[in-house]
Amino acid sequence: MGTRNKLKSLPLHLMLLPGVILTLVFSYIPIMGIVIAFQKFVPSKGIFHSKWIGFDNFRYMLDMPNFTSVVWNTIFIAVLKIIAGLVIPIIFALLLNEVSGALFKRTIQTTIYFPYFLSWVILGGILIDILSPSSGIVNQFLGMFGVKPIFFLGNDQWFPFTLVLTDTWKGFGYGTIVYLAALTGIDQSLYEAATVDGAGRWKQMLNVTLPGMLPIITLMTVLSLGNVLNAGFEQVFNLYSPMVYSTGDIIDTFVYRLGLVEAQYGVATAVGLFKSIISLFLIVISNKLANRYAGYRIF
Amino acid sequence: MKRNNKIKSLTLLSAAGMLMLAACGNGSGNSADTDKNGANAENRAIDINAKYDPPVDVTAWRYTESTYKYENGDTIEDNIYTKTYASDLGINLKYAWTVPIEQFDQKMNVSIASGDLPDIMWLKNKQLTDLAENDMLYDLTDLFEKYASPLSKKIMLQDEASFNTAKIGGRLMALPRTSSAVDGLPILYVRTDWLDKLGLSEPKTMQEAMAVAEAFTNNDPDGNGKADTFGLALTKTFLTDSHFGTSGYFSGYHVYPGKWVKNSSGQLEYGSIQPGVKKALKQLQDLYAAGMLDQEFGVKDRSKVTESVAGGKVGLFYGSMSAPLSVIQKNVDNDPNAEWKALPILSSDTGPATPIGIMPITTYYGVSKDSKHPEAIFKLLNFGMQGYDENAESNSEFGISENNVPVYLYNLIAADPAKKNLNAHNNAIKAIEANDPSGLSAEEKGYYERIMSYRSGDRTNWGTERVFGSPSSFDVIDKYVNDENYIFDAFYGSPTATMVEKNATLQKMEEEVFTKIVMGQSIDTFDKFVEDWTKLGGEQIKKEINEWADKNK
Repeated sequence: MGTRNKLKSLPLHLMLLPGVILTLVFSYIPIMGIVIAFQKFVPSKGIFHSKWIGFDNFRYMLDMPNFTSVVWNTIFIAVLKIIAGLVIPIIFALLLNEVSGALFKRTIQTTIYFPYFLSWVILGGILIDILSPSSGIVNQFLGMFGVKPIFFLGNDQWFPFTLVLTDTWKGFGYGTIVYLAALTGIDQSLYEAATVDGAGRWKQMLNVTLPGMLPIITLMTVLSLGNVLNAGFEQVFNLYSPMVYSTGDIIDTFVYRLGLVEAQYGVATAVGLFKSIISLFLIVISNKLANRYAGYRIF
Repeated sequence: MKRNNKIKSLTLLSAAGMLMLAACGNGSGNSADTDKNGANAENRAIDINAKYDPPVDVTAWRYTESTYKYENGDTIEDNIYTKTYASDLGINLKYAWTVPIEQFDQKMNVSIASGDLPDIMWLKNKQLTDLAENDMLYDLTDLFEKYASPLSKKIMLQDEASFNTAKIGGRLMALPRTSSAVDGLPILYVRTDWLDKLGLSEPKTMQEAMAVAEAFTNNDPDGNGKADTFGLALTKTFLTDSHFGTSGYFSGYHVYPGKWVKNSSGQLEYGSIQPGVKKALKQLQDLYAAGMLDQEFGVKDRSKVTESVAGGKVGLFYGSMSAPLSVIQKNVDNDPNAEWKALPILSSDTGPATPIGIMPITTYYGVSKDSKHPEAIFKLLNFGMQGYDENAESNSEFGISENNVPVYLYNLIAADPAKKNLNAHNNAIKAIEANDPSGLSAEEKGYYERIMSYRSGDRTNWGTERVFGSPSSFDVIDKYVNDENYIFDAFYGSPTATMVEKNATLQKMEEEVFTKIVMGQSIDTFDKFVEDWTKLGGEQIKKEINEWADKNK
């Protein structure tokens, strides 16, 4: 019985193989590279002959005057992005689910999905124009309600929120589709039963739809918590400027400047490792919490 | 006489080469005007240029720029230069990689980190130092003596201080891409049709320039009835930009942010922390508050600001000599009435404003320690330098094609004589004054004809006239040189130990503080900046730089 089962599932396991190999090659082998964080890395000597300096790179990292603000910016921006990136697609999926016209529904779906395909390099140039306080369409619109022009990209108070809003705008179409897919998986008979019990649309949503979506919501939350220190390199890199360094500089842009511009590989790796460890810590905790409160786990 | 004309013709073509490159704003010159036949003749005559037989493979990396154009199926890997390297020198050039210049630093650093080095590498100062210190570069000192042609030596050694930046511990660890230093001096560009329209005269002092900026902002110079123009254009990286930067502006206050200058006691001081900077910054802050700067300059890069110029929103900016070709021509194309003039930078007081330039070398050619043919780089160098040979026939195949494609940019190894472009301008002017292009080469005639065609009404050649002709940006450079009124950044070595460690932080702080002050933060934050800069490593950097200066006296 056991052997037959194993044989039966062998093709399925073989299908895993390409993924496993790719993960090994591109995710596990490069892990060796983190030893650079403990070395005074000299490219010509390579990993094996560079001098070991213990935690000096980490000490140097913590001594940098702007390191704490960089970490804070990263967390602040990432947490806001996670919240907005979870809540808005859910709301939108629920609303879209109530729409009956199939054509209308699909048009909306496609339209909101579209920005997901644009790169930040392109959006960077477009957003400067759209968000311009003097001529941008956003501020002209706000002006109709008597709002004074806001320098979204040049004001360090506004900049993190601009990042969150534009990121959400770009990505919520994708999230919406995930939740819409989850909605189609809900047993229709539950709705029928609810109707029989006299539940209106609102009650149906609260008692059938939302609980039905809960596993996928939990999954998305747990996964996104692992990204809490990924505030979005591409986006920030294309939108920030000296004016908003104080609130816009994140760990990734910091590592980019240290590692790729200043060629301080050791310190850059140390900062990257620091980030990864915190992310690992967070994803383990959130998985535990998800298991305890929602009965859901990813590993 | 004929000989002389040829030298001139060749320099002129090279000048255009330099100009096109500078036009895209990377401050590095490149030109090569070489001649196939001449090359052959010279190769046979001189042993140092002997053809490899059998041919050898030489690998290299380089960047390309948006000014590069291709025709007839050329690519950077396969063009007249690579073909001639193979046919005349027996060198099969293979690029390990080529990337757009914007990605060059990253790609270079990653390649160096992986230890995968080709025979010939385009390097920047920092990477040159790193590789040399780790014994990864071939010591070219003896090869230079043996293999560089007399002409190559002459051109490269014209500006010895620049040349010596390629030496580390007294050994020549790379070939510098020499070029003309005075070309980088800042110039003030003003829109003269707006001046005429508003009844203003050319500004002679900083105060007058500010009055012009105010009038350009408030008096509707484009006459469209909207308050959509502003005085002075800046980019978000205005402290370092060569177009829409502030180097020329600060010089008007006799301060030099970002540069190292000698003080009265002969010590090198960092220009950004000098007390005079505060006054100049305050003035910029006032300009911003009064709407005379683009209120959104803080998020705009050069291409965005170029849009403003092209769209006729701005009438005043500091730029380098290539601005008429690269930036202003777009405005001239859009607006048949637009007219600009290059002015020397203006002083805020009675003392003269002295422009500051930087060491012109931004690219070095290094040879890998493991290269099997380290002398190949000299064959390529000598080949490229023949364009400056007075006996060589000029051949546009290697220069700029009939369709204006800058073919010379494909050359792997290039170096230019000092003050080359300035001489080119003066030669062109002389030919025009004498109304006698007969002694000019084909290429030189091309420039002559472009200026002439502008003068007979073809506005597409406006930029050439305003750079090479007169009045032009080189008129202004010529004045700087004649008055001996210019200085250079006193520090041109590779980054010191503390600079490597702290510069990222200090640079970021400086950009942030200066930008915020201009946009309205209290001017007193400047004092805090000076204090922080000194405390966070600046003092140590200053010490190291003065040690460097003592060594390099």
